[in-house]
Amino acid sequence: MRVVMLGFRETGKSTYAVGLYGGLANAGFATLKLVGLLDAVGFLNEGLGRLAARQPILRTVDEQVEPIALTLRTDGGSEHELHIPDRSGEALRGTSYSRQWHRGLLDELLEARGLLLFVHPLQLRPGEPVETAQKIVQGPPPADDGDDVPRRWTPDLMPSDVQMVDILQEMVEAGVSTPIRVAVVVSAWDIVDGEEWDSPSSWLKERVALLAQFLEANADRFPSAAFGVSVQGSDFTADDATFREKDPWERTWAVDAAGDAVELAAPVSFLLSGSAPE
Amino acid sequence: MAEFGEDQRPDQAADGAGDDQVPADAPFPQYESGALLRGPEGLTAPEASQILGTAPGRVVVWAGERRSGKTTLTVELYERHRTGRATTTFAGSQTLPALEARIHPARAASLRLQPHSERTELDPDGRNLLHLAVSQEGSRCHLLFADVPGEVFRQVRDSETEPSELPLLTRADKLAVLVDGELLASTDTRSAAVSFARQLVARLADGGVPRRSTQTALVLTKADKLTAAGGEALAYWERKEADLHDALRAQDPAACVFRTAARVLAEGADIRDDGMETLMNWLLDEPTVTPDPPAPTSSQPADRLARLQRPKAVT
Repeated sequence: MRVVMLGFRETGKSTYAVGLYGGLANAGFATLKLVGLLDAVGFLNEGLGRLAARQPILRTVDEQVEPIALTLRTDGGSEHELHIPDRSGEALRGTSYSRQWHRGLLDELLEARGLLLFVHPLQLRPGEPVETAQKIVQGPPPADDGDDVPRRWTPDLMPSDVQMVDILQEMVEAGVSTPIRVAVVVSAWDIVDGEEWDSPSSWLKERVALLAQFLEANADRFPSAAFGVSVQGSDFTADDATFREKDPWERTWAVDAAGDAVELAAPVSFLLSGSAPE
Repeated sequence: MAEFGEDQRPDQAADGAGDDQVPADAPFPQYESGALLRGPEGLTAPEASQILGTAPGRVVVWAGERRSGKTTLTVELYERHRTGRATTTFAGSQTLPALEARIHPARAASLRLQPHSERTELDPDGRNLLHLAVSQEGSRCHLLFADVPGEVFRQVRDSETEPSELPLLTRADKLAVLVDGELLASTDTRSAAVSFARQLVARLADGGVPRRSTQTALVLTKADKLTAAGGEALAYWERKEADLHDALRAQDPAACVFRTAARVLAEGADIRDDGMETLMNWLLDEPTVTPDPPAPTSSQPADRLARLQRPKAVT
């Protein structure tokens, strides 16, 4: 099964790939086992080394994309080949801005049977209204600035949720066949305020509203599930001996849409559950 | 600490548009795939017909003079889905960049001090329909909003253009005559605003608009500005609103009246209900026609006429 990791830059795709591999390679998941490797994994092990040293994963540059190809067995006994081209967010960003599909990205999507769609709480472009900026500025309300628009519209100024819906819609227009499963992965879930949002579902409905609604209304074409994941497990600067003593794959944790604990591999398991064994 | 791919945490501006903009001259050789994504343009009539042939839809025309709030109504009905104020569910849009380009001056990313809607220009290629698909209680409806400049309606009012020359007017499922609350708030401008609406209704009626299949409404925009102007201004509008409503009902006995404040800005305005949900419900109400037949797929010139297909029958 070909799965595409989709997300703008610095949304946690590479980090998740490393965390996923770390768990698979060290028998850390109950629901998914690594049966074999179909491609080199040196870059994933380099990433594991950085996580072990509590260093962030290096950002993927488009020219250095290295695919992930593994054979997995689910807890139901079925085997699947999982192919993930760990595409950098630059291809997606450039596609959205130039309004032309990145050749390689489109080729991957045309062959994809599942999407891991990444969003990062600190990388969201919320698309706040003008009134929000007004509230920050103290003093009387500003006078009308007429017809002037100091920063003209360009596609990259679309809010994050809009850009993601845009790409999903354009995928279908470009010939990507549906239904195609979508696992929405909220990265760095450990930094989300648990008192304000108790689940990825509630967070997405408020912070990435258009995407959440689009997936709900188009569940026939994009069957989806949401997850919150933390590959680092916690703040790297925290001076916690217990945390430091754990292997990096033991630090990871994840929750499902309702906020209940699941394995880090759960997003992949969701995608595979809709796929016939290979 | 967040999971970043770089050592330095990037700054995040309030509108998220700080350092992330792509330079205008950025080279994109690897994007020459030939597969294009939509730009910020509307749909043509044949494209809209394709949509209407697949699912229930409404062609919506806001008829009003320039700056009466036509574009604002459309984009705010869209934007409400992002801000949690909509009671419908966003189901998609084939003019998403177009909607975004038009809402942009109301966003912090535009660097404006006050929200704004730019003046609409008539698209030379006839791409003057904006699309919004919404879902309510499991049912989907396609809304196709005419993106027409106020100048066109000024020409209708002044008999420079016949309503029959505007296919969107004769094809409309929902036709709303707009009156600008900001103009009503001033004794200097309110009589002209009312006169525009009255004459427009009369010219439309002379031209056979609305058709029997069209549902009509009188919509007050910027109701917050009128409310802030005080009791005398409100009383003036109530009298004129009744007159205009009667004029509309002469053509459509079921004509409705709405008061909206798509962007509540006026100081002193006490707007608890901005009227937008009620307006959306009216748009979604079943029209009295059957859905359009599927648009033909041939490339014959006759199929490319800039006219939305008429429905098969009126029920």
